[in-house]
Amino acid sequence: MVLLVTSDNEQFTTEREIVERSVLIKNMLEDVGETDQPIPLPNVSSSVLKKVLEYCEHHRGEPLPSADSDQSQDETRKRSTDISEWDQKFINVDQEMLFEIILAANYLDIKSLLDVGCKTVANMIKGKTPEEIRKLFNIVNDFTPEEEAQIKKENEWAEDR
Amino acid sequence: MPPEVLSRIFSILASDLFGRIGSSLDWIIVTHVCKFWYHVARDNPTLWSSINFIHPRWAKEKLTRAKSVPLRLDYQHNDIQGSEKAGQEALSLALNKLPLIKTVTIEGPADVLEGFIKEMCGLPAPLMEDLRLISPKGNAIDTTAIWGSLFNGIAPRLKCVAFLGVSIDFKTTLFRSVEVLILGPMLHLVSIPDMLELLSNLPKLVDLGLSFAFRQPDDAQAARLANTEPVLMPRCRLVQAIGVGNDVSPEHTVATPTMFLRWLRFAQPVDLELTMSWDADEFPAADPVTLEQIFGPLSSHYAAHGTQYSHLEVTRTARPPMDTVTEQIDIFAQGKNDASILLTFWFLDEVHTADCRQLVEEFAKHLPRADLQSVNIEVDIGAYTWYSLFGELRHLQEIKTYLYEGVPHALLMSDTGGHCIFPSLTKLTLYFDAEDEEKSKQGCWQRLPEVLEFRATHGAPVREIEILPEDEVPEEYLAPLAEFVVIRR
Repeated sequence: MVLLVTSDNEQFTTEREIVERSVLIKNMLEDVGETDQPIPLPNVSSSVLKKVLEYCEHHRGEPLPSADSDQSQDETRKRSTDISEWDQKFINVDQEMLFEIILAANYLDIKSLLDVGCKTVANMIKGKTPEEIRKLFNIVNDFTPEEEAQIKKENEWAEDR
Repeated sequence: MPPEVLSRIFSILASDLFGRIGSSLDWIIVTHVCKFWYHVARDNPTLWSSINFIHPRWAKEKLTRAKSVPLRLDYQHNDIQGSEKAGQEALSLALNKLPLIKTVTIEGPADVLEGFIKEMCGLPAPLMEDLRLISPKGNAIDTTAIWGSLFNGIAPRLKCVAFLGVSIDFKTTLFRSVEVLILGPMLHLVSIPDMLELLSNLPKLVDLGLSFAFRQPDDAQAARLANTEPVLMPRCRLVQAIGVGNDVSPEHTVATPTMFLRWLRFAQPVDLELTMSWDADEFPAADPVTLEQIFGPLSSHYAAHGTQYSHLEVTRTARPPMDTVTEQIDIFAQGKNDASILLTFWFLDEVHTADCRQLVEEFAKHLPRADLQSVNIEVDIGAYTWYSLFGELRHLQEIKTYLYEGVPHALLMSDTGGHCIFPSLTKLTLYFDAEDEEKSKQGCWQRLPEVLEFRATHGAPVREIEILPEDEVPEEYLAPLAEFVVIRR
């Protein structure tokens, strides 16, 4: 069993097979060997870790993506925005939790979970105008009118394609 | 959101169905959201690395943004908007980065294509995986002379090569790592020994596609070929030969790819897909092309060596020659393979129905029935014929057919033990023809709920009905079926 400590000092005891879906934790455990010492996760809160462990538990035993599959984003690896039914239900959370899960997956290096999160955000962005995207994610438009005109000019061939 | 995560989201947005990033550009709307998003997108060169040349200035811009990441180029000469010269300049600029190019497709007129091929000489292509060069039909080019210097002889990762209308050097060793080779018509008829030499240098080939004619060997060459050792293709799983019938000229000056296949040996079962289409006018009734001409030598070979077919699809046979059908069936019957067999009968409309029926009967009589999993019968063979020919097919999972009157009748039949025929049948693919009442009778569709209920209560439920084409079937035909099965339209 492995003991994890979250940023809000909550402790989680979980099976090694489950938690090793995180490449970060897997490497840590390999480095320190058998230990009873808790593993601190200062960037992950207890509510988020609970969700992450739920995901790892559900996907335990599934093959992990190969180490180099993430390196080159131009690879032919399929990156459609399809998400499995279970994953869709799992990731059906409020926006704040969604981003927390993505950040945790990124920090813990759980590629499949990161992909689920990123695909969900990509699906939210699809088909929206810049203004709708800003509104959705509460983003301030910090372009000057001149900059906006410049970007429009840069992209004009792409946009009238 | 950290830039690497945002960048990942953008790359998902930018991926097309095949996972290639940046060939569609709808996603670049994200660069208009805010400065941070703009810079994240601009600073990720992989987002800009799939380049087509429809808008030459945009292609150049993407080339700049892609910096030094591997490139995927797709040049279609006819799609260029604006100046063709600008399009060619943009591609030339991209080809200067040959060591960075991962895939390249160039389709254009012979002179344009020839120029680009020359530009790919001299520099190595260490990342090149996929090379497709296409010259329009009837406009083949001969680039044999420059082959020695293509990629400076260095393309160690080349996996897929497609040359249509482009001649190749059959002695090249540039393709030693190639797994997929697709060759179309060349300037001259290809000699069988040349092709054998090429294939002997392709130890990793998995998939071979040929759509051209060979030169018919003269007597002396034929004698030499008789003593030629076959080429072993240890990894080959698929051979496709397309346009075979067109190559069988009455003058017999050309040889078909199937004839060529006699000199190949495979280490494992091979899917063989022969798409034959020949024009009845070209081969008058008095001197019809027969399957003998196309298959004959190959049949004898495999009859002697044991078949390695696992899949034979004969399509668009406008004039099914009856005299050699039995011989083809024997090949199946003697098959040693354990793969399933998909047998498709697909005839053009001008073939007389009676001929088709006769052909189906001939095939069915000799089939290794136990193996057949799918039949595609596009002619009206009647309920009794369905029963007598296919009734014993216990592993048949799918029937593809028009809904002639005989079909519901057959599906309602049971054997002497009271079990319905086709006990493994789970899927029906029904073709619909709104113009032809014989093929798509309303009464037959109305009988389907009865059929489905009967089969469900006899332990052989149909679980799926696919209807093609998908948008022509009246809703009132479909509504009664919904409660029984998944209907795909």
